[in-house]
Amino acid sequence: MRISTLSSLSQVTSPTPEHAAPPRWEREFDARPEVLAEIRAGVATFARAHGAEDRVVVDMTLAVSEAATNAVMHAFLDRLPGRVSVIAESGDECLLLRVLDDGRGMVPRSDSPGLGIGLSTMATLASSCDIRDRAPDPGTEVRMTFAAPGVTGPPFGADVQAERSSRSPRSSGLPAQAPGPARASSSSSRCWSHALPMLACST
Amino acid sequence: VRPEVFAVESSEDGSSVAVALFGELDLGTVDVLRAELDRLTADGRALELIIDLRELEFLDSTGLHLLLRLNSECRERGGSLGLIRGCPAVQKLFEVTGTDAHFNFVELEPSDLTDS
Repeated sequence: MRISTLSSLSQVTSPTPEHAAPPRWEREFDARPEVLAEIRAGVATFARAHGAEDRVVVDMTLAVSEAATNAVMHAFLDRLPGRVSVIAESGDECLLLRVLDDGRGMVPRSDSPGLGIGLSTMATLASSCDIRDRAPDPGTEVRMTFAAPGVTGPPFGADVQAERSSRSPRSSGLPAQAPGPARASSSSSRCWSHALPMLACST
Repeated sequence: VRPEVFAVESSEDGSSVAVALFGELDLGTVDVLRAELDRLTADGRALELIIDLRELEFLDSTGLHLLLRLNSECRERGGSLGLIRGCPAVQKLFEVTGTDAHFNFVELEPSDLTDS
């Protein structure tokens, strides 16, 4: 297993010699439907700059769009639109996406115009998909990883290690940069358990 | 909606309607297609509808949801909906959601088709 040690993100931000592209891309947007095309373009550009295959670019573009769409549609349902942040990082044979909003958190919406399809799509496209509250901060964070043959970069520290330990019975505490105490021990399966019943309703 | 992001073109010939989609269909542009489909189906007649996805660059779950609903409506009215396949990015959503089995994908030009 290539990820074996706990390390913080601050330790893995140096660029690799193979790619001049920065190993991290982050942008914050108004949580409005008009920004979705821009988010997709930014992620696709990042993935291509790191040598990701077309197939991986397609998967990441679709997945980030669905995650950001959820933030736009659901996070600010009963309040003014907030912000949605998208972070992409390169790793060793993989790419990581994070989509964060500062909305009200994941709440079922009976008039959903496609939520079930979106969540199951994210879970299917990504190698791992993890949805969690950002407590004590407001909002939701989606983390997805994508197997990306040919992509080089530092192994993920905090992010991947946390996801792996969240699935492992011998979870050994969280790195210092964990976003909060609400990191659910079964967050990956939560993604599925949310997605499947709603997919059944919406098709 | 910025016109450079998404556009719809439709042509009618009796009950046969061809609708071509261009650009990126997502939450930000889906209302454009919804409005055009509402206009085309407003009189409640049975349509043989063909939607051409070849120039569509992106399709998200809200666009797919609209197509699924349209598919049901067309069948309920005794009409039909055929889709002309799009690029890999567009086909990907049909595949990962298993909804490709719900649609009738046609291989011909819209002008060659009067039914499916």
